[in-house]
Formats: sequence, structure tokens, C-alpha cells
Amino acid sequence: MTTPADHPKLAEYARKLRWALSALPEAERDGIVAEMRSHVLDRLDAGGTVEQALAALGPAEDYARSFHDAYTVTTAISSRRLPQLISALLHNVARSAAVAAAALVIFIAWAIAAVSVYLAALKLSDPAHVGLWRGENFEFIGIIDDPSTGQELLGPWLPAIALVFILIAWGLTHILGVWALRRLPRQR
Amino acid sequence: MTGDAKSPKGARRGESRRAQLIKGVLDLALLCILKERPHYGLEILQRMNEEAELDVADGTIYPLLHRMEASGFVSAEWRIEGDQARPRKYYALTPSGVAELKSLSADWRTLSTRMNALIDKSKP
Repeated sequence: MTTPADHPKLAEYARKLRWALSALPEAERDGIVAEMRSHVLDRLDAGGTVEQALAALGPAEDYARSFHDAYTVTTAISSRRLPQLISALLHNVARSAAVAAAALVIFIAWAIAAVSVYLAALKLSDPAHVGLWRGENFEFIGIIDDPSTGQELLGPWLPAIALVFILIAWGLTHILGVWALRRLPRQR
Repeated sequence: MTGDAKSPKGARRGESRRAQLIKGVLDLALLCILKERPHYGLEILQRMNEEAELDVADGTIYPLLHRMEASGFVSAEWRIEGDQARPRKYYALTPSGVAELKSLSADWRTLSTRMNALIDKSKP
């Protein structure tokens, strides 16, 4: 005899939900599927049908997406780890002006940091031609063809400056990232 | 067509507006319900819809509970209560949740007082 817990539509929904939640850790996934089953059985106890209970939850893919979004954002905020924060920001950039603005500022900060690291690496390999140069008609940071035409202003500080830019980008990612993700509107 | 409140389009707009307003108070409603005692998902849903008439969809409550759990405002455990035939996942308020409830309640009271004053002023 088939019990409500073995109902084919419930089993199919559980399978689709599990599949749609595949990006989440297994324990999290198992918990969500078990709770969905428990909810459907509670609905049956209250006099509904499996079909009605599943329809009220919505398509398995949509239901899974709301967990996935919540999990991505809350994990990023609670862990405060750089990859999670950046990933959560990029996934939600279209959902909030605060996230879009934060992502833009963070992108610019990391771009500046990347350029400064590149120049610091060049400085280590070619100290005579790389630096912050000032001449009669020019001032720039980068590589000069003829060092005798200008004066190098940074000396050995370029790697230290690159480190400062990295720290600024890292700090902005944490502060702005968490700030923006906390202001995300809920989807469901 | 401008979609007044009595037309189908107007009614849909009204529902959408109401849904947006409700989204903002779900956290507060959930914390209020859990302040009394631990509840399981369907119980919370029924109280939100029957007592507060929030019209919350079944698929909304569990992601919300998981988010609140991940934020540390609620804790959850599977257990069998009384004469239940199977375990259910019960959610309870944590000390952080109590603090969050206090903060959200204060925000809500301030906002509703100001909005009521504004609405009263706009009355003809």
C-alpha cells in the first residue's frame, strides 16, 4: 500500500528539489528536502492533497532558488570571506542599486590594486625604468624608456604602495560588500 | 487605462502593493510568533495568515526561516512533540533574535506612528 510519504508526485518534487539545490552542502540540502516532506505531510493532515501542497510551494526550481539566494547571501555575510562576498555581489548585482554601486566601487579598487601589483612586480625586475616619473613635460606612473629624462619619485615604495592598495580593496570589499548584501530585498 | 482600485488591473496593483508592504514586516511577524514559544513551519504560516492576515505563501516561509537561522536570530531542531506521529522541525528565538525583535518592534512603532500622522494630515 502506498503511504502519503511515498506519493509519486512528492517523490518527484523531492528529486527535482534536491537536484536544484545541488550547489548547497549536502546536509543543508537534506534538511530542506526533509522539511519540505514534513510540510507536505502536515498539509495532508490538515485535509489537503499532495498536489495542492506542492502547488502551494511553487515549482521546485523556484523554491530551490529562494534557498540558494538566501544561502549565498547569508554565507557571504557570516563568513566574510572574499570569494563568497564577491560571488554574492555578482549574483545579486541586478537586484539592488546598493549592490551595483558597491560592486562598481569594489571593482575599481581591485583594478587599481591589480595595476599597482603589476607595477610593483615590474619594479622588482626592472628597478631602473619603473616608478612614478616626473619630467619637464610629463608625470606618470609606469615604465620610462630613458630614465635620464625624468626623476623617479617613489623610490623603493612601489611594492609598499601596492600592498596598501590591496588592503584598501580588501577592506572595501568587506565593508561595502556586507553593507550592500544586508540591504538586498527578499525575492519571495 | 489608469487602473482604478475597482478594476481588475487596479485590484492587481493593490495586491502587488500589499505584497511589497507585507514583505517588509515578515521578519517582525515571525519573531513575534516565535517569542511566545517554539513553532514548526506550518504552525507559523497558519498564525501569520489567520491572525495577521499576511497572506504568506507556503514557499515563502521556509527560506525566511533558514535565512533567520543563518543570521542567528532563530535556532532549529527536529523533535517529536506530544502525540505527534513524526518529527517536525521546530524553530525557537535565540537571544540575538530577542534583541532583533526589540529593535524591529521599535522601528515599526516609530514608522507606523509617523505614517499614521502623515495619513491623518492628508485626509480631506
